[in-house]
Formats: sequence, structure tokens, C-alpha cells
Amino acid sequence: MIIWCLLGALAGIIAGLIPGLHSNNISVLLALTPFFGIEITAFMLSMCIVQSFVEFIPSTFLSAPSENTFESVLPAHKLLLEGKALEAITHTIFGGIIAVIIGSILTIPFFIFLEENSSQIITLTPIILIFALIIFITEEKNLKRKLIVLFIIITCGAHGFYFKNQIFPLISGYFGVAGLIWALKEKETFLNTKQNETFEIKKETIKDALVGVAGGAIVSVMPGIGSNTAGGIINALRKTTAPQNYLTMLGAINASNFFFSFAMLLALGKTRNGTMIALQDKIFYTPETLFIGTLIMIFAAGIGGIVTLIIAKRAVHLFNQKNTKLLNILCLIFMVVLVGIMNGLIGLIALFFATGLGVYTISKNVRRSTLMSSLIVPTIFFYLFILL
Amino acid sequence: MNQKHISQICFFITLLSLILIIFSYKPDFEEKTINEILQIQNSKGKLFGRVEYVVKNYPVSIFILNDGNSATIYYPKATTLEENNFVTVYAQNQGQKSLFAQKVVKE
Repeated sequence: MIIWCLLGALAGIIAGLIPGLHSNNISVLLALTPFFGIEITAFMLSMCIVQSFVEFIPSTFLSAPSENTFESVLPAHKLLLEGKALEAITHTIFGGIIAVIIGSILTIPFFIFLEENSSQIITLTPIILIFALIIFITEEKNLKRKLIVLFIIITCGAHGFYFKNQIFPLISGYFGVAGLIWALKEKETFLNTKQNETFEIKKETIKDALVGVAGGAIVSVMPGIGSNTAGGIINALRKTTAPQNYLTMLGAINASNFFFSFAMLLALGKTRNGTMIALQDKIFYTPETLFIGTLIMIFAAGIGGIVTLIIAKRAVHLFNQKNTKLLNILCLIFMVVLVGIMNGLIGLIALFFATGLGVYTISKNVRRSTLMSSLIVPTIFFYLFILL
Repeated sequence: MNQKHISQICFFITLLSLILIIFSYKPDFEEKTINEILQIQNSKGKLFGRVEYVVKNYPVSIFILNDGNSATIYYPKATTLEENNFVTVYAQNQGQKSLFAQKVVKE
């Protein structure tokens, strides 16, 4: 079984380092194989958890987001340019580790909560999402800015409906390419990332990690809300938070999402996480599976943390003293090519429109979480049709 | 706290969970015969045998498995099993008339 854990960790590293490749894709392939039982459980859980740590590396160094990390691109890239890339990644790891530890303690109360409140969760989902959109608008100071945000929400919603199944090009445009194009306006600097910088984990950071764990639990049970949407909503509800703390929170949401999704699968026999759906017919629904699965995820989190730090240090060596402008141009080309390969012409069209709106959002100094409306608006409509 | 401390925490977590996995993990299903499973309540086992008779395939599956001895198997899912198919059944004795199958794999 340990071999399966290590193979899963390897797959998680590969999936995490290649933007656009998700553990869900690998899981779908694995679901077609005759393997099942604890071996496949070990592989899939290890892969998911390790990926949830490693995928912050391309987000930080290449501004290349994944479905789970696009909210991190701006704060992480900002820290990269300040020479604090390792600090950014270490905070996401810290968040992930806290999530796994707290998650393992909260499994049983989470089961009880799920069993008692599963029907209310569906009713609550659109209400929370509408509430988030209202907050995006009301947070702005004057009518003109409120109208700008409203325009962004409507346009994003239209993108969400029109470019269905084009999440990667959309998030790459909004959060990756737009930021890189904007950064080209800035003067040339050279990356100078500190290798052994000591930084404090403050009370506030731990608090944000705990908020992230709660966010991960919400993500695992609320259909239509992803890690980033939860992060964005929490961010919108709170006053300004340090980028490091925000990254800690995202790391915690990302890791705890998988953790609680597994608990949900075993408690209710259903889940909304893609990998867990692939696992649905492959596992034995026994208390032993829950116990061993929990241990596997803790084991994978430890490996994920260590591997992420090692790769991040290598990445620092690779990118240090590089011209940031040149690096941004290379990242830009890389992302456009990647979208072209992964999503074809329709993906490139989606990328073009998303980039335009992303640049507009930055130029108007509007909170970039607003761009998540491309996921939020279609989800609200989906639930309103179900409930009404 | 810096990367080194985080590395140390990760290493500790990895080591601790590895030790717990090694000491607590027992394979869910070991190869057994129908007789061995029927003797002890709640015992589990991996059975290999021939489908002797299919009672029903949908919406749940009930069939008689023969590995030298016979037992009725209840599997809570639809299958396409037919008589004389060779199957591996991951079964559990839950004290019912039939053995409960967690998984049935056609060979």
C-alpha cells in the first residue's frame, strides 16, 4: 500500500506542476482500470493531497493558475516580485498542514453535521452566492465604482454561460495573462528571492488557516463552490488581510477540501469532488477505510509539504537574477500555448475575452475576486432553476 | 518560523503517519473459501468461484457462487453476470442467509 501512496504522490507532483492538468483527469483514467480497494484509495488520496500542495508552485513562479489556485496568483506573484516566493509557498504549505491536522480531528463532528443538515445545504448555496455578489458591489465607495463592479459581474456571468467547460482559459485570462500584461508596463527588475528568510507565523496566520479549514468543509459539501470561490467570498467578507495570511487560508481550503470530501463520500456515499466521484465505485465503505484513508492523507500531506519546499527552492535557483520583464513575457507565451494545446481555438477565444476583462478590472483597481462571478453567476442560476 | 521548521513538521507528520499505517493496516480481504467465511460471523474474504445460478441482475444482484461449496451472494448493484461466469467476490458474512458482496469482478 505504501508503494501505491508513493506512486500517487508522484502523480500528484506531475499534476501539480503542469497547469491545466488536474488530478481529476488522472482519476478518470484510473476509474477505468480493474484496480480497486485500498490500493486505489491510497493512490488517489495521495495524488490529490500532494497536488493540492505542489500546484502553488506554478501559480507563484509562472502566474499559471490551476482550478484550485487562481485566487493565489496575485498575492503570490506580488510576494515573488518582493523576493518572498519561498515565504509565499511556505505559507500555503503551513495552511495545508494545519488543514490536515484539524481535519482529522473534525471528521466525526463533520459526519454528524452532514447527516443532520444535508438538505438545508442545497437551499443555502444560492443564498450565500448571491450574498457574495452583493458584497462585491456594496463594498465599493461610490455609485460609479458600484456600476463598474456590476458591469464586471454581468460580463463575467456571460463568460461563464458562453464559455462552459472553458474554466482553465477563463481563469488563466482573468488571473494570469491579464496580470502579466499589466506587469509589462512596469520597469525591469531582477528577481532576488531570499533563500533562508526567517518569518513569523503570527496568531493572525493561524486564525486564517482555521478559517481556511472551515472554508474547505463548506467547499466539500456545497455544490458549485470551489476552493477559490470560497477564498474569494471569505476575503470579501473580511477587511484587508496580509497576502501571506491569504495564501495560508487558500492552502488550508485546498487541502481540507479533499479531506472533507473523502469524509463526505464515506458518510453519505456521495460527493461533489471529481476525484472522489471516480473513487465512488472503487472503495469499500468501512470504518477501516476511513481510518486508513485519513492516515494516508496525513502521510501524503507530509510528503507534499517536503516535496513542495524542495521544488520551490529549485525554482528559486532557476528563476533568481532573471529579468522580471523577460520572465513575464515567457510566462505569457507559455500560458497562451498551454491554453491552445489544452483547449484549442475556443479556449484561445475564451482566453482573449477573459484577458480583456482582467486587464479592465486591474485598470479600474477593482477587487479581482469579482472575476469569480463567471463561476458564481451560472451556479446561482443552476440552483434557482432547481429550487423554484 | 521558516522553511526548515515547516520541513521538520512535515517530516514528523510523514514519519508518524507511516508508522501508524504500518502497524494498523490489515488487508481488507484475504483469500478465503465460502466455508471459512460462513463459519465466523462478520468475517470477510476474497472468494473465487463459478456462478452457479443467477437469481436476478437488476436493480440488485443475487446469485449462487460455487467454489466447491455453494453460497448465495447479495450484491447491492446491477451486474451482467451469467451462469458459468468465473468471478472474484469480496464478501462479508453479516449473519444473513446470503453473503454480502462489497465488490464482484468478472474474470
